[in-house]
Amino acid sequence: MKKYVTLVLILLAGITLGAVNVLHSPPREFNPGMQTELRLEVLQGFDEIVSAKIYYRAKGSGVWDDADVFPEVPEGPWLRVMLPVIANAELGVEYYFEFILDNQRIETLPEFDPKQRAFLLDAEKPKGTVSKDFILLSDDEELSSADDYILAISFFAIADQVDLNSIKVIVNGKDVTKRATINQGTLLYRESRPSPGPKAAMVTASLKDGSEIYSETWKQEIKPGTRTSILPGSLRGNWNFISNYYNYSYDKSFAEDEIKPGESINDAASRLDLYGSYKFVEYQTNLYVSSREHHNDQPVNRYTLGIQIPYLDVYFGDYSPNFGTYVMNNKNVRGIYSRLHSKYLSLFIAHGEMVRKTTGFYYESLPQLDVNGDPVEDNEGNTIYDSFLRKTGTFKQEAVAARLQLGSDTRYVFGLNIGRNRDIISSLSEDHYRYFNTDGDTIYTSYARDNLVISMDGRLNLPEQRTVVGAEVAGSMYNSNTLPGAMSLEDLQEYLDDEDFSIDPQDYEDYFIINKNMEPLKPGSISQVAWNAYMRTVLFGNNLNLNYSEVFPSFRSMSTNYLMNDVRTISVSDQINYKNLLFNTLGFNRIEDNISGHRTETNIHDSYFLQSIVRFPNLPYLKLGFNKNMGKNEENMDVADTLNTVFSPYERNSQTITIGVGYNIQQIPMVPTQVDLTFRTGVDDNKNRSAADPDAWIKSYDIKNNNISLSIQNKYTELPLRTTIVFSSNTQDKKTYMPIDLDYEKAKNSNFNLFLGGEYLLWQEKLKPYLQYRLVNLGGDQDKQTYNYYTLGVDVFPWQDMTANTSFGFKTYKNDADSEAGTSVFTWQLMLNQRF
Amino acid sequence: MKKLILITILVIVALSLAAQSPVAYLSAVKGKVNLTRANKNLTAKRGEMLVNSDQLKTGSESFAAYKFVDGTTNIKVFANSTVQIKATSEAGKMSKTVSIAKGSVLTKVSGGSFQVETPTTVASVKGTGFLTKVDEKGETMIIVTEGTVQVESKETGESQDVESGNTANVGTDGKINVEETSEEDMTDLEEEEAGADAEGTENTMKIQVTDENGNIKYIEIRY
Repeated sequence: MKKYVTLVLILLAGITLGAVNVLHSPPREFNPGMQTELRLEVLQGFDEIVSAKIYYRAKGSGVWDDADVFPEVPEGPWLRVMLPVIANAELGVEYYFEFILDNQRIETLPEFDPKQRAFLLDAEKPKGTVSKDFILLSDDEELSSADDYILAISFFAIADQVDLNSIKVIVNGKDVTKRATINQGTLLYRESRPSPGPKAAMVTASLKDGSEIYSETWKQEIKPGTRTSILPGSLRGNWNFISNYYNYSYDKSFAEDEIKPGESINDAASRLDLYGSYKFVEYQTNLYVSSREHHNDQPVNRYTLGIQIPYLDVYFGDYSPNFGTYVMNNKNVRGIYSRLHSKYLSLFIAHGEMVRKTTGFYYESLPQLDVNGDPVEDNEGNTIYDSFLRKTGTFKQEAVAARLQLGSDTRYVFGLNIGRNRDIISSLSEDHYRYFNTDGDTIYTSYARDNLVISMDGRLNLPEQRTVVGAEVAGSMYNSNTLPGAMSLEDLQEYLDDEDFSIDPQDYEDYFIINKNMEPLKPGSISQVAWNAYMRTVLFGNNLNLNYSEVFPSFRSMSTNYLMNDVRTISVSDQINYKNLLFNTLGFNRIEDNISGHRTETNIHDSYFLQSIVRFPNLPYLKLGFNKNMGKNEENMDVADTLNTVFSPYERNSQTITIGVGYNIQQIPMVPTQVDLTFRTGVDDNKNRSAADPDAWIKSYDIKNNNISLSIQNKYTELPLRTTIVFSSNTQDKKTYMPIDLDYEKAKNSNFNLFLGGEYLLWQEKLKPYLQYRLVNLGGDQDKQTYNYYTLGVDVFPWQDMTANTSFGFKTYKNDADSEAGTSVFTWQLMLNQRF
Repeated sequence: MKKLILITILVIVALSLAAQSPVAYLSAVKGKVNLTRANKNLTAKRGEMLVNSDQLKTGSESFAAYKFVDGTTNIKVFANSTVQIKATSEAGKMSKTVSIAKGSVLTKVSGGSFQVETPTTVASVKGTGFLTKVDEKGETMIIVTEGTVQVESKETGESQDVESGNTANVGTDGKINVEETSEEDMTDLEEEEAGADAEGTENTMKIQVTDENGNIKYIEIRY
């Protein structure tokens, strides 16, 4: 019985958060002994995704493996990955996706707690019935990679009934029938020097009466050979190398000092991951070296050495610790990270450098002033500017954090976290952050900062009730400029106008610098707090997800990414699964700022979404999506009256409807075809209240978008050939209103995309050449522009677990309105990957 | 006449096809093991499929094991043994025979028809484990470890059932003598199995040679 799981990433309000909207259609089939193709459709934000990974494991096992997810078609919207054969996957396979965006934010699918709420694929039986008449003759108890792997199967009892041409031999997901010897009643497959690791083999066949049968899955473990290893114990790992070469040419002739448009620089990078064990010690090394590394930029290279013994893990080098949402999260620390842990008590410590010292410069243009202080003008009345060289840079930043955790993940967890980030003033020369202007004032181009964050978090897991609840609260102290150093007690008492204040800042300057640049100056108010609470539960088949968070205006955390201040966030989502035929996800998000009430206006963004998939066996699937986003602002009268500001209200609305249908047409002989047709229509408008008439609203723009896309994938059965055709067309009608006469400018733009691709397997599937062409045509009222992309490449699999890829690309750009804007670029890419 | 020729050809083809269908799988080979098929000597290696009338011959400190394709019978051929594999199939069932010219063969049968044939004896078994030894004189010893073996003398036609824990000795005169298996007999069995499981001993041979400069060197050959 097939089971499916579907989940949709929540679309957060608008551009400010840069979220992506991804739809994952689960595979129709999953067989533990075979590779499985997984596809994702990025409905929104494809350009923001820098890289994507899938993390997977056999259900019940502890270790997650990962693999890269690649675009099926350049520029999207599809992503694709092959889930490999996973040992011991009879209970199923769990997996989730991780997306790294161009703003370095990481999002996952499922969005929240992906490891706990990972997708689950249940093992499915092949077509037909299991037959005990397939007998494994080669049931060796121990197999070594120094010996041949032999699969000898007897189907003697049903030899007369089996259609020999229908027999398929599958080993670790690969169809190896062509390399097997099939006789009347027996088949033999031999593999010389197999790689160590699990082997899963099975046989499928059709009987002469048309019925289908299959064998059980036979599993054997290939142990490493008798060759002596350089290092003691077992060792496995992965190495890869990638290099890119670019060659640009332009229709326009550039002068020597003229800046050319952004060019990619030739680059190369290599990564080595090693994992080993010796007796009770486990060790790992992760190295990443790139030509983009520069001593004056933030580090790109990564070096990690990790050692794990019972109850203690230690990592030297680069590591991204996780100490709650607010203290330290998703940021690289170069130093030491350790974890002392038992079943119910754990202590985590991290210490190292989070930001590297760099130096730089820029030119500041300032107007020339005469003796009266007025700007000097030339003969034509233009102000004359002088250019001044200013030096700048970043300070080296020390980060230290600790976490004390009580409890275990299976029931309850309570944690205390503390973290501090400090810019080391002595790490940067004064020349690079301080200068004096003509008036003798001290001007700073960079500031050293200090940040201290403390948090508590708790989570309760109730598996019987299928419920998880949790919360976290944090407080911070932040100093935006520690260059003056800690102030004296007397200065502080005078500043606070409180002679009884007794905390001497200079007693605590080793822990935190207290001066007038501290936010907030007097700790203890709610403005320096952030907190969140969440609940996930399953109720009558509904997966409910509730989240609430508030980050107050003075809360700062230099060890985390992207915390918008003075913001309240509410999100509610519900997923319904009706008999595995209908899947619905609906939800609501609200983001509201100015929760402190200190600003003159409050911005509110609401979004609603609904995603549905209807899937009946052997019939086309239907998908429906609806998204609505609304933004507006409200005046905060408490502050506005005081400041006498002018309030400009706005309202923004956008909504999108998506309808699609898809089907895997197996009925086409020799060419089963996967077809997907999607139509999307949306509107987006913005209006402001009229200054002349407070009751009237004036539109500033009104946009209508329509998009249709068609994707056709063919997998030929008689030939090792796969072809892909993707077509999409988008039209946009935009009205931009003039504020004065209320007339509008109308523009109609179009975007046409065509992708053609083909790949062929040669040489016992060891060679896969491929050819791709893509056309992008922009037209309508905008300048007519054309992009052409040609790609010729080959994937080579010379020996087991080794992949090599080289590709040549050629891209051209033409603009009909500007003959000198044309460019072309030749690229060559080489990728090598070896798993061992 | 033409019809007769045609039928003859078809029968020959059918027989040859039937004869060439694998009947057993060679699951283990250790040391020196020869495979003779249609009077041709082939290399016996693990993973080889055996056909009807194949002959296996093991040298000293050598061992081979095979199993019939119906999955019911495992055979271990110990050192200094010569056996011939015979099997025919009919209506989805296989009749199996191991013909032992000399040496020791351990058999485990879980079902189906199976016979062990020696110069003096035919033993029919069902669901049985037993060791058969044939010495240089052609005398046969059958040590039954599981189930029951029906032992029939070729010379006299006498037939006896031998239960587990008993040993049947059949002399060249064809007389069947059944006794309780002695400890010495069990030790023989255990030693044979231990010898089959043990790793082969590595021998080294050094050959002295003199190079063009008069220096004495050694060529070391390991086997």
